[in-house]
Amino acid sequence: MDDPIYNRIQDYVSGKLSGDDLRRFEQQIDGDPELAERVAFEKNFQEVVRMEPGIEAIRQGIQAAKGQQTDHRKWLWGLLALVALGGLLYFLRTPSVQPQEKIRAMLEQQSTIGSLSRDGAGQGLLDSAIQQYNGGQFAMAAQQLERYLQSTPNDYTARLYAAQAHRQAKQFSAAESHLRQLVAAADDHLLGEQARWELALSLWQSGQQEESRELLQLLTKGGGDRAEEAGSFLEAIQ
Amino acid sequence: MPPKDWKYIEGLRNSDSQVIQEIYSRYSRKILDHVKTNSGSASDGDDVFQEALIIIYRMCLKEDFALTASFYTLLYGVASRVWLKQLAKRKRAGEVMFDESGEYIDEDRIAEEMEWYANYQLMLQKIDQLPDNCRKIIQLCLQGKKPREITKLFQYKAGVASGRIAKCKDKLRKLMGGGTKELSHG
Repeated sequence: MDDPIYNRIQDYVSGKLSGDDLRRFEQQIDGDPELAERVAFEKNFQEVVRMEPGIEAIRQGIQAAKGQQTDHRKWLWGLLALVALGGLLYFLRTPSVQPQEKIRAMLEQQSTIGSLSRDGAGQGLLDSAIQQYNGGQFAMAAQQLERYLQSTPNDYTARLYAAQAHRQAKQFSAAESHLRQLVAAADDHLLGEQARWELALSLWQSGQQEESRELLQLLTKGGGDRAEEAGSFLEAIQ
Repeated sequence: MPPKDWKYIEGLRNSDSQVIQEIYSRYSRKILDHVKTNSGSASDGDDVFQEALIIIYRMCLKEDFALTASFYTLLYGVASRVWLKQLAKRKRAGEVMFDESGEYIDEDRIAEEMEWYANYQLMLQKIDQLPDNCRKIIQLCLQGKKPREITKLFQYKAGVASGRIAKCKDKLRKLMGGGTKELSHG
């Protein structure tokens, strides 16, 4: 059933009462604590009704912002996961361009080369080149050995030295040219083995990793003097 | 004061969802960090941020509202007091560290709005304790539905809805402690 007092409270709170009606109702409120409570409650209730859309908008705005942040986080984590996966795949599939310590040590191993005794005018040049090489002046040694080889092209040991000097000076193309000639021509098994080893290292350093790996595998399987080192190098680059 | 601060006030006044989201994105992390470094959890931080924003919303609806500090100073000031009150309830208020900017914020107004918010929260809580029918009626009233709309929705006879609404409000008033004192109005 209808509640006339409630309707009166509604009219009062919404400002519909005026004049004598208003004065009489306010007197009634003053003399009736229960009515005063109902009026106070109704005012608070109407205030909540008035505020509710704005409060709901704040709640929803915050939820939407949180959702966006979560989406951004998911996207970011997805991207990071993708980058990590890519990095892992790259690491697994591609040999490291930067040699690890072991590889670096093997590539930069600066074994001294022994003196060569030859008849003729080239001995001085040869001695000087070997001295340069053993002193770490590889480019200079390579240059002198090239000059020596112009007059003595069949000196295979000197050619090997020239290739080693070029490789140590990071002149890989020149090194490979000498080494391929040696591999093709050298009858000496030991010299051929050394040339293949040097060629494998030079190819690796110049980025021709597939051919280098094949040569290392051949050396390892061949069981020769360089088999153990080739095996170690292969292991290091896996 | 940066122009964006007034944009935030206007956005809150107009319940602009984009602005509310921008405020959250810009400042929620700082408020969460403040709560977390003062014995609170991330969930506490979320509640504090929301309450602080609702309090500021109410403050800026007042005709005499003046932004006397940056928006963040106001937000931080309100959030700190909200969290302090929460900790006081948990008897750990001494653990809060304030980092006041020195800019003026209206302490009394904040305290007044915090009291309103507490009463509002109490109302929401007590609505949940009402019988089903009453809860539905009160929720419809909160959504701004008029008695004639409630009559239609509940298929009441003419004149019945008003009486039902009155009874449900009385139940709610009594659940809230009867003599809910009149709080400030906008």
